[in-house]
Amino acid sequence: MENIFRDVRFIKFSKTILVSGVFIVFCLLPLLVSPRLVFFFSEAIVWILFALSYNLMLGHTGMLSLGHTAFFGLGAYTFGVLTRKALVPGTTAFAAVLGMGFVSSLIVGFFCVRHRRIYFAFLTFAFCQMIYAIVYSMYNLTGGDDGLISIPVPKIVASTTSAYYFVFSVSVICLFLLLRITNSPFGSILHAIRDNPERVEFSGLRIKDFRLASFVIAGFFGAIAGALYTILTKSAFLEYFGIEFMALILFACLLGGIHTFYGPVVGAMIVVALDKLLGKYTLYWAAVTGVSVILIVILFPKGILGFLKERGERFRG
Amino acid sequence: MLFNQFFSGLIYGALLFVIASGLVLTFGALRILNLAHASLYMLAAYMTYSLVHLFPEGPFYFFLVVFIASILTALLGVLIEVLLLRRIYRAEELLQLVLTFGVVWILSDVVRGGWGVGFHAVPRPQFLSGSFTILGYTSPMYNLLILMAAVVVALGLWFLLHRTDAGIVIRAMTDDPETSSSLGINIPMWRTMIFALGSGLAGLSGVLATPLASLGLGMDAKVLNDLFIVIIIGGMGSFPGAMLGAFILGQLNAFGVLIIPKLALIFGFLAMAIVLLIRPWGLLGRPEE
Amino acid sequence: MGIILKTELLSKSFGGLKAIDRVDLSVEEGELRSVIGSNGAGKTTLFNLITGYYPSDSGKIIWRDQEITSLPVPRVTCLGIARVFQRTNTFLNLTVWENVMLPFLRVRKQEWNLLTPVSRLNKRDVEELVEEVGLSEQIDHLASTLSHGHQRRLELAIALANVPALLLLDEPTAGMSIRECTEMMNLLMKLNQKRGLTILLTEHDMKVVFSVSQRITVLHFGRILAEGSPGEIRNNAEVQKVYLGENE
Repeated sequence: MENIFRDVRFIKFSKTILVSGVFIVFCLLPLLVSPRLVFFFSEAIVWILFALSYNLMLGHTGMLSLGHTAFFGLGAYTFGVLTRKALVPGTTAFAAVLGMGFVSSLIVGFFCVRHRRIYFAFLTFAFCQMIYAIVYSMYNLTGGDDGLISIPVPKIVASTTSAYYFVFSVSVICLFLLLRITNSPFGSILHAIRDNPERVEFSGLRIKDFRLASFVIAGFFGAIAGALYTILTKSAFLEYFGIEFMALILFACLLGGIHTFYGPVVGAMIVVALDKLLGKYTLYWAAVTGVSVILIVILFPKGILGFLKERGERFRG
Repeated sequence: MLFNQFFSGLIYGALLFVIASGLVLTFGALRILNLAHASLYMLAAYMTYSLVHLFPEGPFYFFLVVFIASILTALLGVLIEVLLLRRIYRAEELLQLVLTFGVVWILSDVVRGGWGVGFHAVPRPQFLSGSFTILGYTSPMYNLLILMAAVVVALGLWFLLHRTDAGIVIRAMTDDPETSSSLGINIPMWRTMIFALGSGLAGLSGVLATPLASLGLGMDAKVLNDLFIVIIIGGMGSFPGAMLGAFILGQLNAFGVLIIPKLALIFGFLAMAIVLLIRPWGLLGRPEE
Repeated sequence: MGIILKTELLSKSFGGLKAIDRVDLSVEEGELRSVIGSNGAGKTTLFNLITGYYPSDSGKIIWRDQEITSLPVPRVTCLGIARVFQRTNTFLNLTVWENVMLPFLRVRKQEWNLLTPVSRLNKRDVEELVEEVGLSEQIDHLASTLSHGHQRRLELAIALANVPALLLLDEPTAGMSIRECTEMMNLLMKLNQKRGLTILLTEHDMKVVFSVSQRITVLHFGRILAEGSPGEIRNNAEVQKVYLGENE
C-alpha cells in the first residue's frame, strides 16, 4: 500500500486531479465569492498568463529578458488606443493585438536574440525603454503620463463576472497552447538549448531560429495578457512598461520554480496576493519583496514547485 | 550656446564616470553585475542631505561630509558582500542578478522610510558658490569640483591598478579568476575590499551629485539606466571604456534635449542598442571567446 | 567507394601558435581511420575545424564534392558529419531517452512541431539505437546519473542519432576500464563494418589504435608526420622516434 505513493501513475493521477479541481473552482468562482474577489482573481489570471509567457523564455529556453513588459504594454495600449481613440470595435481591436504582439516581438527578437546572456538582457531592456519612450511621447494617442482611462469594452465583457469569464477562458486556451508547446518536439529543443546550446548545434539545429521563435511566442502571449488586463481595468498606464512590473514577474517565476511548467502559476498567484495585501498592511512592500527575493535566491533557488518536485523524486528513490 | 551644452554634458559625463568606475571595478573582479550600485549612490545622496545639517558651513566640513558618506557607503558594501554576495558566487548569473535586484528594493524602501517621498535639495557649499567664466560661458564653480573629482578618481584608479601590488591582485582577479584563486592570496577578503571600494565610489558620486539636482525616489532607476548605457557603450570591464561611454552619454543627453526634448532619453538607448548590434563587447571592451 | 572527406592545406593558428599547419587529409568512404599524436599535436583542433566549430585561417575542407570550409556547425552536421566529444557533452538534465531523441527530431524534420506530445514520437528509432549502444536499462535515467562509461556510450548514441555518414570521435576510450574499452571498440567496428559508417577517431591508447584502425594518420605539431596502415606506421622510423617508444 505504501508503494502506491511511489508509482509514477499515481503521481500523474493526483496531478490531474489537482489541476482539474483548481479548474473547476475557477469555473465556479463568481458563484462562490464576492465581486471584489472575482476582480482580484481576474487580475491574478492575467498575471499568471503573463508569467507563463515569460517563463517560456526564462525557464524553458534559458533566456533572461528584461524587456518583456514591452509586449504587455503594447498589447494593452494597442487595444486601448484602438477602442478609445479610433473607436474600433472590440473584436477587431483584439485581433490587432494579436498582430501587434507577433510583429513587435519578431522585430525586437530579431535584433536581440543573436546575443549572449547579459547583452541579450540589456538589449531587451533597452528596447523596452525605447518603446516606453515612444508611447510616452505620443501624448495625443496614448495620454502620455496620464495613461488611458474609460476604455470602452464590448458589453458582453463589461461586467465583473463576464470580464472574469472572458479573461479566464482566453487564458485557459493560452495556457493549454503553452502546455502543448512545452511538451512538443519544439519544446524539447528549447529545453536542450537551455541546457547545452553547443550540443544542439552539433545536432544540426540552428539555435538562433529557436530562440527567436521562443521570444515571439512569449511576446505574442504577453501582448494578449496586456490586452486582457486593459479589458479588465478599462485603462492602460505607462507603468505596464516598467521595470517594477518586470521584476515582479521575474520574481513570480522564480518563486514558483522556473524549471516547471506550473511554477509561474503558483508564483504569480502569490505575488499578486502579496501585492494587494502588503499594500494594505505596510507601506514598505518593496523592502518585504526585496527580502523575499533574497531568501528565495539563497534558500530555494528552485522555487516552490521545483523544490517539491525534487523532494518527490528523492522520495521515490 | 553650443559650448553651454557641451560643458554641461561634460559635467554629467564626469559624474557618470565616477559612478561607473565603481561598477566596472566590481564587475571586473567579482564577475557580478551589482544592480544595487545606483541604489548605493542614492543612499549616499540622502545621507549627505542629513549630514549637511549636522555640520556648519565651510570647506573642511564639506569634505568631511564627503568622506563620511563615502565611508558609510563602503561599509554598507562590505555588509552586502559578506552577508549576501558570498553565498551566490557559485550560483547562476540569473540568480545573482535577481539577488542584487532584491537589494535595490530594500534600499529604495530604506530611503523612503528614512526620508519620505518628497523631494529634497542640498545647496551648493558656500565656498564653491561662485562661478567662473571660460570661453564666454559662465559655469558654477561647483561643477569644476566634479570635473576634478573625476580626474582624481581616474588617476587614482590608474595608479592603484598599475603601480601598486594591490592593483596586480585586482587585475589578476579580473583577467583570470580561476588562476588567481591558486595564487595563495586571500580571495574572499580581496573581494570584500574591492566591493567596498566600488561601493565607496558610488557613495562618492552620490555625495557630489547632491547640489546638482533635487533628490527624489526615482534617482536610482534613472542612474541605473544611464549606467547600463555607459558600460555597454564603453565595454563591460573597461575603465577607459567607462570614461568614453560616460562622455558620450553626457553629450547625447545634453544635445538630445535640444533636438527632441520629450524623447531625449531615447538617444542614449539608441546608442546602446547600436553598439550592442555592431560591437557587443563595447567600443573599448574585449570580446570573450 | 570514393573519398568522403578531404582537407587541402588546412591551417589554423592561435596567436603565434600554429595548431594545424597545411594539413592534407583524405578519408575514404567506409574507412576506419585513427589520428594520433601527442597532446597539442592538433587532433582536437582538426575536428573543430572539420565540424565548423572553429573557422580556419586558410585551406579547404571538402565533403563529398562540396566545399564546407566556412559552413556553421548545424549545417555541417546536417550534411552528415557527427561528433563525439572528449569531455562528456550530453544534456545532463534530460533523460537518456530525451538526449537521443533530439537529433532524431531534426532528421525526421519534426523540430518545428509545436503540438504533438514528444513522448509519442520516434519511439522505435530511439529504443533501437539505445539498445545498440547497450543503454536500454538506463533509458529513463537522467544523464547526470550515469557512470562515466555509460555517459560515453550516450555520447555515441546522440552522435549516431544524427544518422551520420562520418563519425568523428575524440578519445572514445578515455577513462574506461579494459572491458569497457573492448566493448566500445567492438561497437565501433560493428558500426563501421555493418553500416559502412566512416569513422575518424583520435586516441592515446596505442593498443586500441593498432587493433582497430585500417589506416593511421600521425600528427606532430599540427602537421602530418606519417600516414599509412598500422604495419607501415609501426615500422616508420620517425614515428617510432617520436611516439611509439614512449608507449610500448
